[in-house]
Amino acid sequence: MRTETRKFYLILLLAFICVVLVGCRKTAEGKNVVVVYTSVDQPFSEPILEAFTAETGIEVLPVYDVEAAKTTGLVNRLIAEKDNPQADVFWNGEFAQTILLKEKGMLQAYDSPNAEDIPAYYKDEDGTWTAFAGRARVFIVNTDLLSPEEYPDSIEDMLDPAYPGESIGIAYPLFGTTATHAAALYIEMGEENARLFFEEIAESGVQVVDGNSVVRDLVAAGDLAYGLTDTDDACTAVENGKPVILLFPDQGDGERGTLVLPNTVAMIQGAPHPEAARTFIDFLLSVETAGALVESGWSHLSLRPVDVTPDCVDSSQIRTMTISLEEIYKQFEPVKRELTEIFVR
Amino acid sequence: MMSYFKRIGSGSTLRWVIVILFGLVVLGPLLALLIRAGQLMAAGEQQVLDLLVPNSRRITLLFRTTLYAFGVALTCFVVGGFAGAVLWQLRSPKSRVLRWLLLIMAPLPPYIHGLAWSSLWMWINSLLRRMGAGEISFRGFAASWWVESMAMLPITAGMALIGFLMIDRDIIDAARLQSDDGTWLRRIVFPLASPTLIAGSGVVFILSLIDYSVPSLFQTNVYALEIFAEFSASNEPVRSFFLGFPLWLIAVLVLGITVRSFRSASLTPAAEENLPLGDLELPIWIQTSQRAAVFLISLQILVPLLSQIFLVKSFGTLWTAVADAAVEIEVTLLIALGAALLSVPFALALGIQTLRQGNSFFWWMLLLVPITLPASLVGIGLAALWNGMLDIGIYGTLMMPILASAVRFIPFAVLISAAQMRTIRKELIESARIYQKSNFHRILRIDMPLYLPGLAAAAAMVFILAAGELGATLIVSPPGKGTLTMRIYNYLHYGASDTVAGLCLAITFITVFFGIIIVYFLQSRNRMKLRATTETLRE
Repeated sequence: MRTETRKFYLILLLAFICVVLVGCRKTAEGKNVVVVYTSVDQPFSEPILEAFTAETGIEVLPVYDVEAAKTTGLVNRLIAEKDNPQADVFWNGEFAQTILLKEKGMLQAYDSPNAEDIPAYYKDEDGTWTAFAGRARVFIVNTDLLSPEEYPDSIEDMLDPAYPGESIGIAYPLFGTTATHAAALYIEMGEENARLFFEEIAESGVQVVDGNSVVRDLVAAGDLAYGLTDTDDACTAVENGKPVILLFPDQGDGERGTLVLPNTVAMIQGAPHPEAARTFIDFLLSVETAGALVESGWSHLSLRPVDVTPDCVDSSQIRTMTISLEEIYKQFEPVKRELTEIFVR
Repeated sequence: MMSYFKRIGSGSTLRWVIVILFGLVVLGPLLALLIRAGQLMAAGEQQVLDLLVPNSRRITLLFRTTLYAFGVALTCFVVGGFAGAVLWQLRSPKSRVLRWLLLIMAPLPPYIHGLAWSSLWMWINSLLRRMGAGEISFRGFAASWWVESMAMLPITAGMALIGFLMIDRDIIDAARLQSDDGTWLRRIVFPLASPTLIAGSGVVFILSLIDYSVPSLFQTNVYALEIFAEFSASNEPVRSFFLGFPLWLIAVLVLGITVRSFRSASLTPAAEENLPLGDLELPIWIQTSQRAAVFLISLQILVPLLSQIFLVKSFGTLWTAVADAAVEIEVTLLIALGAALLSVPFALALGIQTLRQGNSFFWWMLLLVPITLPASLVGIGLAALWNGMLDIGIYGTLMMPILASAVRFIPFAVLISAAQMRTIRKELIESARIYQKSNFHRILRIDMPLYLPGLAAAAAMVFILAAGELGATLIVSPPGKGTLTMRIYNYLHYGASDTVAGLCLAITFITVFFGIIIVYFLQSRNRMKLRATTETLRE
């Protein structure tokens, strides 16, 4: 046999052995680990996971979601694994999908002692999930294109003829926090008014883009005058020195306020590492972690008093929408279907 | 017992075993989804069947999406054809090797192309605003069509080049005696190369049809977005699968038409000689078209590459981005290597079977149907199969993302392998059958070394494609083992454009490195011939 051929077979064999030895090992077996599925952006969640490992010695094996999957990837993965769960904890950047998992019987109750000072409104009555570390829906406004007198005040301003539709941006209200906000508006405005509102948005030329981060980037670049996004996206642009400002919509007396989107954490039914899962949930719900999340720029409205204040926005006195999280969740599927009919055509 | 092993050693039994394994591995996710659909309907949810028939809004959306994909495929057909012709006409030996590197951007995810072009347009608009000249909108159907075409162009350019290289030189030499260069190029060479070009355009059509990442970036509504919206609303993959059925039917229909071109290409005798053509006197319109095509191919490389280099700002940022992603890079390389290795036996067995089944419509459809499945459904199907129906302990290991990439890209490996096998002289194999003491020895000592270049090129192609895979990997990657592409998309959302650019450059370097390996192995026969000729001349 030629030397070249022998070398090829040898390389093939070595590579095969390497892949089999490494590839067939379960990553979470036989170690002091906790498996965390999180939809929180990796740059924000990773430092928290590392801090947990540094404090407890428990290794965290994370699975992150990506915005390109439109938040469907992680939750569908959890559902697909229902009969043979791999995850211990689900740390969600909002709440709707957490409630969905509870409805499917995939969460187990755990009352963390660190959650005692979190208001009951932000906890599941059966103890299967706890909310913490809020974000909010905001306008991000380009200060080079709009003067302070021209800044939008309300969601309804998106239909004001003073603002050309093409100069305003929202993310597709079919996914993520924009979908959650849409569901909340359906409850607050009433179905009929909300449908008319979104139909007019679709017809007015408002730019419906791929995600909140795209809204942020387009406003920051001056391609849009303002748009609707989340506080963490908007604050990233502020911290990068872009000519933008954050504004909370509907803050006047008697107005609806803005939607607060709390993070939620839950333990998975049948979690392979239950003790480590409880330790992680306790860590995540601690006051110190709440402060760390504010400091990192992920959360801007802590659900309990913390010593840290967010750099890019004053959220101490904001008016918020007072709709129960379960009520918003119930609207999710029908609202998404209706908005698909309106926006995907 | 001995006769059993003799049958195995004869190769055909083993080959059929691998063919059956291909069916299970690659079509397994689809089967799992169908079983799940059956379970859902058995549980009384027959209304899910209503999704098979689109309403009027979805019909309009389906029509527009088909038109979009057709526009992209047609653009790639025309531009790719002219670009392939230029690459085919290159004269110096070095340029004839390096021409394959013009296709290095093929594995870069279309979304990254989209972001690069968006960045370029934002920069152009900022210049125009500073000059007081307003701005030019880059969104909607036109922007999506442009970016998708740029992302897919290397596929048709590469297929066109392969098509031109397959043409018998004697035919060209005879044609040159009869007519001017423009006429024989137009009336003989292009038609002979067209089967492979049409095949490549068919692949582009299918990939554009099921892609939503680029259209959603430029606010173009496509049917694939509808499928994802359903996925997000119901979290029931079977509903999305049924909703996507009309789209899948269109993809399979086009595949069926394109398969004729694959079959035609597979039956065309391979060209023995690949000598340069010399100077050609072409009509102005062909020269202009070719130059325009080369310009577009160059843009297709330069825009993503330069935008990444510009955004990364410094080598320090690049180094930090790569160092922080060390785990993801290691995982990505392992997954890509595993998928490449797994593709080798399939590429070998199915490559041989493809040559034997050259005329079989059913065979080609079986081989190519997996490429019509959206990546996320492949992931969900794999999870349902290996974490439920066939729980043999590989779920939760790196074997899952390896399988995900294998399912998606083995068909491409088979095509490359079969194409290379066609160039091997049958007489060598026939002679070896006589002189080798057993089939096993013949396979090991004669067949495998002859197939080696094609198998190595096929494995390298799977490696490159697996390195950039996201949709299916996202669903099945084990905890703590994210890939480079997942990290890129995570940081993309966060807005860390310099980190993202650094990581994209890392993927580009991996692509270029393994692209060079593909070119090296595909050119190995030419080098062996050259060596043999040189040695003969010396003697």
